[in-house]
Amino acid sequence: MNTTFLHTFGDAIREAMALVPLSAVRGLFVALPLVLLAWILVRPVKSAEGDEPPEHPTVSLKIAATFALLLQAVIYAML
Amino acid sequence: MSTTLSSIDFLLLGLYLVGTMGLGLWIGRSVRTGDDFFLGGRRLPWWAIGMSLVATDIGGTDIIGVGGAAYGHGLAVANFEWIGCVPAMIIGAFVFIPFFWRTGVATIPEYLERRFDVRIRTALSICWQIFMACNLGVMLLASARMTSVLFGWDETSCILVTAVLVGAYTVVGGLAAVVYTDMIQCTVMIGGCLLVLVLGVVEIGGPGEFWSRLEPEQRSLILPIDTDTPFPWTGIFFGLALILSPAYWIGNQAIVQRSLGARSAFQAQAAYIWGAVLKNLIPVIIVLPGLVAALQFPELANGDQAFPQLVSHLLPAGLRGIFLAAFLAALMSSVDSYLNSASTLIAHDVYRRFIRPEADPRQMLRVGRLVTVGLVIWAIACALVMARLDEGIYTIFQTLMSFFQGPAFAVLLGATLWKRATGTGALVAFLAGLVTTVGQFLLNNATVCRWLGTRPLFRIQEPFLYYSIWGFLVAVVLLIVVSLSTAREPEEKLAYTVFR
Repeated sequence: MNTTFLHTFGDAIREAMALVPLSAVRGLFVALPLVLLAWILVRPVKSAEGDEPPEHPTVSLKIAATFALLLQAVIYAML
Repeated sequence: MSTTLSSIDFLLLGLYLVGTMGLGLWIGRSVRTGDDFFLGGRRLPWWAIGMSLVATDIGGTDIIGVGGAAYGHGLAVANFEWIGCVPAMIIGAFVFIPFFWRTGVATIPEYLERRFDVRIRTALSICWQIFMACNLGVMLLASARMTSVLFGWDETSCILVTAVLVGAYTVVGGLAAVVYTDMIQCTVMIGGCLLVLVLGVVEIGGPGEFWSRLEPEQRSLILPIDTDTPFPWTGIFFGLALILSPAYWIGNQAIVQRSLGARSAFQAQAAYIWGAVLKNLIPVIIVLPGLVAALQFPELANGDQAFPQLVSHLLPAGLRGIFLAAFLAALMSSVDSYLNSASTLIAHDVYRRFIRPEADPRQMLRVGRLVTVGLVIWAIACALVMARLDEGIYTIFQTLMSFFQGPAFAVLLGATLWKRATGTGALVAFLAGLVTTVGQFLLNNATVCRWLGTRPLFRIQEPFLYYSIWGFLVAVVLLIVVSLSTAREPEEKLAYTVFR
């Protein structure tokens, strides 16, 4: 079987990625929703809630998004 | 299973179908213009759109296929519904969706013409039209293969019945009918699958017993790079979470279109976040039943038998109708959305752009309905032809989207976030990304590898997540290089088309 430079390049990346421990990978998966959550929470309310007043004042986009992202962080921390 | 359906099952199924059709046709009474047909008159509420987003994303084949993948590969398939959806939906809600809504466009390619030029609009629109036209046939055929097993009908009858039922309310009611019927379909789908899960877990001995009997790899979301499954963490994180998922939730016309029909930018945002909250629940109802089946029936020859086997084993006559309604709901909610979005692309990006730019709202409505009828006929023909073709061709159509999603996402990111991106840069990047993904597919194909005397490019099964990573990266590099080498876009063009 011939190998091309694409195979060699791919194998090198694969070997490098295989060195990353799964515990660090789990940290990456948990960090993604948490970083996103931090970014949403520091956004000004106006840019996070849109220009127009909400038709349903009880609905807060930030609170609902926080709920969805925290669930993700918990799921990836546990499973 | 087909022989054990009771009259109550058929009654439940009938009630579901009559309810869905009735609602869709009733909504059709208020459709007067093209805007009503394609965007629901921009009057759709967030709660209906959010449920429609979830229902559209889960097709009938997904219920069976995802359950089957969980049966074979474990919980890792849930990544497609969790990290493969929720973060991208939240980013979409806070950045892209309200921005697209405010531009007032009906299609994503239309936005790209406003930002760049007609070349990239046409290139992307053609890709989407080809994909959707083929995918309609694939969805009908794949669903017919499953419904024919469940109902005991022949495949051709299943294709015809599904196409006519879905086509009828989509032609009459347009996007509003699609969204409101999706809402019912989402509820029925969640209820039906939850019923199967609860009964299955109870039969095993409760949640604790169920979880403890699974192997460690079966209950892990994160799998090593050398896993035997198609879900190594590298593909899931870099390919799915960072590229394919945002490409799908931010750039897929069938998904984004319903948020463009929201009452306000706020409602479009709320719809995406509501969808993200619901998405947290979806793996519980479609993935866990596959794991229940893995414990209950470890000897199945094919994972796709897992869900039907569970239904047949757990649900008594009378309750099977609920699951079958859920299956039909999932199937119909995806077909109706792709029908409506394909007709929107053809009507806006072909008819109004190139044939009749002065078309009034009533003409657009007529064209939308005619195109939808044409697509139903096309989808039926396509499904019937594909049923007679080699299985490999059918698989290629299913992976078509992974060929252009990565490059399209690179172009969309550049368009919205980088003022210096130019039309020529976008076109070159998109085409080069396409060549990259198709090239990887060919270099991984067994026949091509035999001919070249090389081993396949990738070591995992179905490496479509990796295609998108490299397609995206090549497109990003070329977008930057070519844009910096070509003249800037005029400032007036950028005023309302770049995110600030």
